[in-house]
Amino acid sequence: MSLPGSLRAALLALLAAALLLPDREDAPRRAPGAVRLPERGFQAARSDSLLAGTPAALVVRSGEDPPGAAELDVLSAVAERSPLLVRLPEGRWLVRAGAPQRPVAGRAAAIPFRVHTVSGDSLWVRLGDGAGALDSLRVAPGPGGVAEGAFRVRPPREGWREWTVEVGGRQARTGAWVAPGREPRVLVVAGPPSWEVKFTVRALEESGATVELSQPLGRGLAVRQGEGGVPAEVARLARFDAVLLLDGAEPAAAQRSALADYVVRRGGGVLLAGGGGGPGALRVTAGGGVDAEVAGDRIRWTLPAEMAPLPPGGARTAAIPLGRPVPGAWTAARSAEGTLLALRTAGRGRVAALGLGESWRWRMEAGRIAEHREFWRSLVDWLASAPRDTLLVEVAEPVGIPGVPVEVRVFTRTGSGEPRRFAPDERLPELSLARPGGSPERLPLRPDPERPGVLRTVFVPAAPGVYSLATGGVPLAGFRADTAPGDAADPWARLALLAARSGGDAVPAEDFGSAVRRREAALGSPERRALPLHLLLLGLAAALAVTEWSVRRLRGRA
Amino acid sequence: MRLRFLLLLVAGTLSAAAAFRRPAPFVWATGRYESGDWDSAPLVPANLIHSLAQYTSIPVAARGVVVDIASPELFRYPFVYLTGHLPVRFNPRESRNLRAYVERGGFVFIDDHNHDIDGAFHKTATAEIARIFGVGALKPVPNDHELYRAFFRFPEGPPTTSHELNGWGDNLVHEHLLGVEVDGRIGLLYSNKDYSSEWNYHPQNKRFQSVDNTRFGVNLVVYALTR
Repeated sequence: MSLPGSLRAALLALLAAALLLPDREDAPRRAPGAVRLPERGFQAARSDSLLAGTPAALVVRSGEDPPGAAELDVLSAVAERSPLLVRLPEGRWLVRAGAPQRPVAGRAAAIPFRVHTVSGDSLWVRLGDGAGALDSLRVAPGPGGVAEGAFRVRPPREGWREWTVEVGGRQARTGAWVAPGREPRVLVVAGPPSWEVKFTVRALEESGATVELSQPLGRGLAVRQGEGGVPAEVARLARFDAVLLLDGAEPAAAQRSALADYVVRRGGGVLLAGGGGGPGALRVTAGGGVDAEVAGDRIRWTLPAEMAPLPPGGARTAAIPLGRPVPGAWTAARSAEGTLLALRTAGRGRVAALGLGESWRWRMEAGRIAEHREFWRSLVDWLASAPRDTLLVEVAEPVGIPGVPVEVRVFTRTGSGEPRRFAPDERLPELSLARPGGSPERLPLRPDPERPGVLRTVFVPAAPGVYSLATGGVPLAGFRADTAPGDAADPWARLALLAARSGGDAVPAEDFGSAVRRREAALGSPERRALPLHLLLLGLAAALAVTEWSVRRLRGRA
Repeated sequence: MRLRFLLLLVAGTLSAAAAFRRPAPFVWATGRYESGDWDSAPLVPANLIHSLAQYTSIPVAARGVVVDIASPELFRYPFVYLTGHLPVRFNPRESRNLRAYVERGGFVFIDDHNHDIDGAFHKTATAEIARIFGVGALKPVPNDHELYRAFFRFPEGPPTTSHELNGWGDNLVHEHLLGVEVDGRIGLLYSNKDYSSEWNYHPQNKRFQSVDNTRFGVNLVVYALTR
């Protein structure tokens, strides 16, 4: 007796599926082990070999000579494929300043910095612009003499803007094209009056935001500006940059649907505060929801750099800690009681859930008026600043010297926020470059074969001045060429930047050996990769075929 | 497809957000100060708490608290009521706290229990306010201020009291209340209309009044909680 025909059909289907299924890979394959560059003398031919074939798992540069222009060009391409670990010369200080990502006028943005020092003492890091000092921070270098941090800025108007990060007489310059913006318009929908709602609205109004408040007072009366409540029409919601649902605000089904559309399709921001992150709330977190009291100095903040924490000390607050963040969300504040602030992006917008119920105590009891105000304003800025454009233009180094090629990457997205994949014959977006005093010229874009949705181009700034990059006549990024651009002209600084961007690092000489050993040890224990699905199917089909053959043979029919 | 899934996800989870925490109840705080007779109107808190519960949806603590205005505890209660008949002299700690309290966003309601424009409480209390907040900081509150429509409507400004109408005390009907503003919001409200006498009765006796005379007290609390 032969096996049923359906089993044979299933076998054939499995084999066909095994042949047709693409070989899915989440991460590019890398060759095992580290590749060490020669310590002396740049060999273009040998380095060029790093650009072909399977990328190296790690590229190590231990030479003490500063890299030349040709080597930097090659290493720039290498850094796109493999992590780069670079040895800095002894006694070398480096200051790097990152550009704020897509800053908007009037909204909080972060300028990250990284300092390599030779001293273990804490350092003053100062931020300035053309008008003078803006801010300062004291940072303590960690192991290896590296100190990192970020300044929060709020550029007042659109256009090119530049900042200087200075440490111990060394400085780095960065800059960005600031998109037009306005003070955020915020809709606050709350339950009955409470101190938390009052002081939240007050903090936002003091910060310059325009707030519409809707809350019931009783006897059919309500504090209302505009139409009151959460609008059930997305078009009305879209008048606001962010919507805050505070204590006791309970939107109806139609309003919930409109809010979801507002976030996912329109790029709006929604905050659920005061315990709104109960079980599964907004799917920012799952579980949680038990009343607790939290001491201010027990809260651990892991906020995006453009957001401000509530300061430690002083206040205790009622809270309903949230559960564990769902995939795609992340914890921005927590205490022993659980998650207190969780953030996520949803489609084109952003959502936050806040488990703290009495932030007003920081203002009234601890007297931290400015910090309370900045906490709320920066949270609203974050909610309101989801990139709504489908194109994002990034210049690798926003301040550089004339004659040195400038790399530009264009990130393209679909309306729902997914990377946009271009067909081979599909027309790519147009990017134009306006040189100082010149008319716009078109830059040719080419898709990055390894990163879907990313397009690349390069231009060479000929003269000092501000260059702008635009699509459809709207500037999206900028670059400044300067004959004295601070550390941007320093080859070591450029090399450190490449290393940081590659996922590697630039390490002072004293710690270089141990850093290489750590990295190499990590390479020796790669994570187990899941067996590809098509191999599983092929194996299953083969096993079934052998079973059938064995059965037939046992019955004397083979 | 993915977009639809996201929409369903966000909408569905918004519905799960209905488990919002209810805000902590409002607590009526009466301020105790070193000089004078701070506890001259002991029935006012219970009467106003009754009115807030009766008219508004604001969760209210059933009992008020007495808080020492020299203490850091003052800052736990962003609404505080002060009254008395006798001369007032705030000690340095009380003065510092009152100034910080108003700057941080607290609301102080001071009522002259004497209803006497030249009386001991009025002269000393207004002098103390000038000393703490600056000469000229205490200004008349216009009678069309939002305070007078924060809950009940008082189109003619502050309601008169029976003591004013009966000609007791200074024999005047005071046209305005006075206030110290911070960023366009009243942080300290001063009254010499003697609401403390007007409201100092047991809530059960409200039934004998044709119009509840504590309604303006509700406006004070709603204003403090929403502005």
